Amino acid sequence: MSDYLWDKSGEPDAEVERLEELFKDLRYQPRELELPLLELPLNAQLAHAPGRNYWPGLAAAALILMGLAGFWLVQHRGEEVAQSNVVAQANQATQETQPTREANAGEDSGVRVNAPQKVDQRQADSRVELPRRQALPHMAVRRRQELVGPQMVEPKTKEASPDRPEVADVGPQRRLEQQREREQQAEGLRAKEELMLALQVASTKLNHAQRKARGGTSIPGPDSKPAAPARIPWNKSR
Amino acid sequence: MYEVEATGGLLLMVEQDPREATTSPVRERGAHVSLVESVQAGDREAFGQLYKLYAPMVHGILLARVPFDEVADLVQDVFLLAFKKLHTLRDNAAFGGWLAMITRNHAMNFHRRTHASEELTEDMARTDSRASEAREVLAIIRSLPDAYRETLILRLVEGMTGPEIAERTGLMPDSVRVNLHRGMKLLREKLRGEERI
Repeated sequence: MSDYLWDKSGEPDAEVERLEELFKDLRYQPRELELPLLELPLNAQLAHAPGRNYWPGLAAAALILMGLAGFWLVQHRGEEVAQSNVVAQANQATQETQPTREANAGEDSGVRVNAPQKVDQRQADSRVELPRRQALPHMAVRRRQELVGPQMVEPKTKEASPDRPEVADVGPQRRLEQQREREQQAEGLRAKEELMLALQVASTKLNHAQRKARGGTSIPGPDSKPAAPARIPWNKSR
Repeated sequence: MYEVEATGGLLLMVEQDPREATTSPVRERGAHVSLVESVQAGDREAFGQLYKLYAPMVHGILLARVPFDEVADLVQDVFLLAFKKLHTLRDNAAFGGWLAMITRNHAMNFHRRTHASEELTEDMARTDSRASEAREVLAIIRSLPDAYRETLILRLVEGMTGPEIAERTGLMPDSVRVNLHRGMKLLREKLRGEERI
């Protein structure tokens, strides 16, 4: 049994033929399909491929970066403290020269003042010229104290000698130095705590990433982002 | 070779052309399944072949629902969408029906996104009487029920045969045959009604 409408077999139906001819221009015209080049993965298995898990690498990189940042922070703070010491010493020196001038003025007017400030000023000037030489010994002593204990560190400077009575050494200069040392120690402790905190955070993140990686949940990698479409010439002839 | 088919309560015995037997829908479907599997394995060329095979069907389904000028772009969109969602296809043998469903949904989304403006502006500019007649008849087909208009457009506009329509869309051949005949009958009535006016 022939049926032209069904399978185009047998005697053609005039009206169907007329409609076919009429709709010729509306028929599908072959056209190239544009697919994004990097539109992978295609199926779920590819999406969960182990090679596409970048989390451990990213976590390790983050850990290294955080460690470097912490190290830089500690170094930077040490330098800042040293610079602030220099500024403080310079200020102190200027303050100390002021009473000397006043004392000199007083001497002129008949009032006698015992003032060893000229020596101090020279010391202050030498400190301003060589800031690192002044700041670094304090840090070195502190580090040695941290490593081997305060009792094992021998005093190097004459002022710090325990043979001398402490009262004799305790002048405004010495008190200032002790205060600075305490401040430096506090700064160092703070920096150390910050570094430990950063390492703890990084460690937690690494653990989290590892747990995710083991759990099998995958997040699309950077190459799964759609890229610029590329023309694929598979439909040139139909 | 004879093929036995039951349609509308009648048992038919039809002689089948041996040439037709080599490209029977069953064999074609098997080839399509292997193509889908190849695409799932990462073969992009295989998707190009699927595109060639199914583009007329997608075009026809869209033509039954959206303005003609939008159809070509929407065909591309549908295939891109299908490419991205191919991993969600459970039965590879049902690729045609799955694609047809995506196409219908995409046409619905198009209507949601854009307010209906119809094709009057395009038609008014045209002076070609044949083209305008084609659009008028297309509009009449579009006014038919869903099942009829889609099948009729695939047959009359895209030039597919009934078995091809059934194979590509995943519909039962009997349903397609019935839809074709009933739809054609309705279309004839409407065209005659138009002529009388």
